[in-house]
Amino acid sequence: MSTAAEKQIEDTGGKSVYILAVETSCDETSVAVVKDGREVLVNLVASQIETHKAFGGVVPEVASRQHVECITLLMEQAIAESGIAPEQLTAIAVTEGPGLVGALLVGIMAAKALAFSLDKPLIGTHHIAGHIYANQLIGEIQYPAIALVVSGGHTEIVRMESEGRFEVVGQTRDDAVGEAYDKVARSLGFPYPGGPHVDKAAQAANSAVPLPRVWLEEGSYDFSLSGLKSAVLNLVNQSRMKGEEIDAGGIARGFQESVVEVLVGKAVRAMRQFGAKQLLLCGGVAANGGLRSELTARCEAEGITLSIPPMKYCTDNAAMIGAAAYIKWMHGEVSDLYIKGEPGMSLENWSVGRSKEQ
Amino acid sequence: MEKNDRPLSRILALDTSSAAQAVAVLDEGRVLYESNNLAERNHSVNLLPEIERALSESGTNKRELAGIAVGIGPGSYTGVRIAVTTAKTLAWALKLPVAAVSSLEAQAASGFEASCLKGRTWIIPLVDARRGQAYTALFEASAPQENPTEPDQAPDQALEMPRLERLTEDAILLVSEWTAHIADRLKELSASERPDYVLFTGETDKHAETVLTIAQLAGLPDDSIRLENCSAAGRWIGLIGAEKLASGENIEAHGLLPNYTQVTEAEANLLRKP
Ligand SMILES: [Zn+2]
Repeated sequence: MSTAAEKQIEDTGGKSVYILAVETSCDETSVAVVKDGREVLVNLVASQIETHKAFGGVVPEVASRQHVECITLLMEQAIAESGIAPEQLTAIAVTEGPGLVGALLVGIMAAKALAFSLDKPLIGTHHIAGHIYANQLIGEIQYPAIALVVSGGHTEIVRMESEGRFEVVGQTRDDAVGEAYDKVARSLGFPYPGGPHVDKAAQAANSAVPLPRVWLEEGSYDFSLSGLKSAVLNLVNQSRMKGEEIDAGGIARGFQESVVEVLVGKAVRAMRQFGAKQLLLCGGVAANGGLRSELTARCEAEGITLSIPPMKYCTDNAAMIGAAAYIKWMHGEVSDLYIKGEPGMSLENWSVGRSKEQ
Repeated sequence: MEKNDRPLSRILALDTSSAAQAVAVLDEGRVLYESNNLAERNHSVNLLPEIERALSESGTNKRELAGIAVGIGPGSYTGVRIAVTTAKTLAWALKLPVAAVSSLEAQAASGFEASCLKGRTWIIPLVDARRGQAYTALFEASAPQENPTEPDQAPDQALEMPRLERLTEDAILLVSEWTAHIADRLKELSASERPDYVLFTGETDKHAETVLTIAQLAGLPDDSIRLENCSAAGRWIGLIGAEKLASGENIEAHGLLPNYTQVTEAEANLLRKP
């Protein structure tokens, strides 16, 4: 444990740390209370998925409006269900970025106002750090670790030499995995959100339509999904022009196998190259059955320790924000009341100790 | 009822519906602190620190507040959400009543005060909403009477409310059509019923050319049409809010919402689909 962490524990008199966390970066309004960065006392999520289904995707202005409607109700309910009195809270954490700026702002203003009202410190938190630290909710993370972050907005391989230190070693150069899934789903005629439909169709299909694997240049941990997506759209268009029925299952399976092979291949290579002790899968696309089973099988075969949080902590939620904020708190790093929404916030710069280095 | 021995009248007022960020602390109609900053879209950054400053400079413990007054728009969607989210969280966390104030009404009062007009006045607040539109409404005001009952009041005397009577609801309208509509309303009035002045307030620069045509349209003398570039001042959010709180027109914190005046474009498109 670092000296900063020891000092922080001294400051709190060795008592438990209770963090109330707020997450509004996209279309879920979520509030959680997390004890000692590990134990979720309550994790409430007001999902807007039904609303956005009608639009075929997330409409930022609609999302922001719904956040305003329910944010204080959720905070009130979370505190009540946590069994912790507001005065007992140690700090208020909130997603500072990345995300939709208008949506982020609702959570940030609510968190600032709550921190101010209760005279508690505020911890601006990185959304992807949250996804990664969702793994801390199911067990102690072993460092050095590699995180494979796959979600609607993100596809990243993150190397963590030690607690709270993030180095992005690979990321998508175009579409995020979740984004590619949604576009492929639309072309195959599946409703929004399409990811689960593609996953299901792929797993049910008997054969796969052959599609390319995009590895990029030798040694790269980056991803590119737009070429694969275009290949799918071409196949669909060709079938349509020929008046043939689209082989949705075969295309879904071909697409999924291509995506999964590259994700798993690069994650496993990163584990070896960096001598990491644990692979952390996180983000909403961690729900994907094809990815989960292939990654689990590969890790077993290669003797790699794999951690996958339960679904409720893979999709956007505030408990994961509380878990990540706890790391900052233990290193004595808090925010001031001037924070704002950071749609393009850097994960590496959010690393512990970074503010002192700069 | 431990609150009984504390001042029951101290109010925090907020508005971020336009380019200006307004924060004020009032007590019994007296302005203890006020700032109206053109923060250039940095409301989310500066609002809480400014509230902190307002309370400390006015010697107010946040736990001694009696209520919150907040401008709920209409105006910039994101801007309105900043003050409304802040106000509803403060109101919920500090267990305070909150008053939802029309940002346009506060802006109309601010502009009328700045204009120093004496006489019956129609006030049309404007907040630009692009594509020739504005968030707007129509109010009638008469200048405050000189108050003879308390002639010896100190300079910190309570502000006299201009009596603003609302003639239309807040709405988003095409300024050209709106101007023509008001001109028609004016023409229907007999000469003795007509207001002495027609005052456009707020973001008048962008719409000056359009609204000034009202003189000709309604057959009014040019000098009866006035423009007052202004924003919704914190003290007017506070004064209007205080009246609402006093008359029991407060809103439960969770129920406080912006007045957008229209559904989102995405929802409108969806409704238009057959
Ligand atoms: Zn996410």
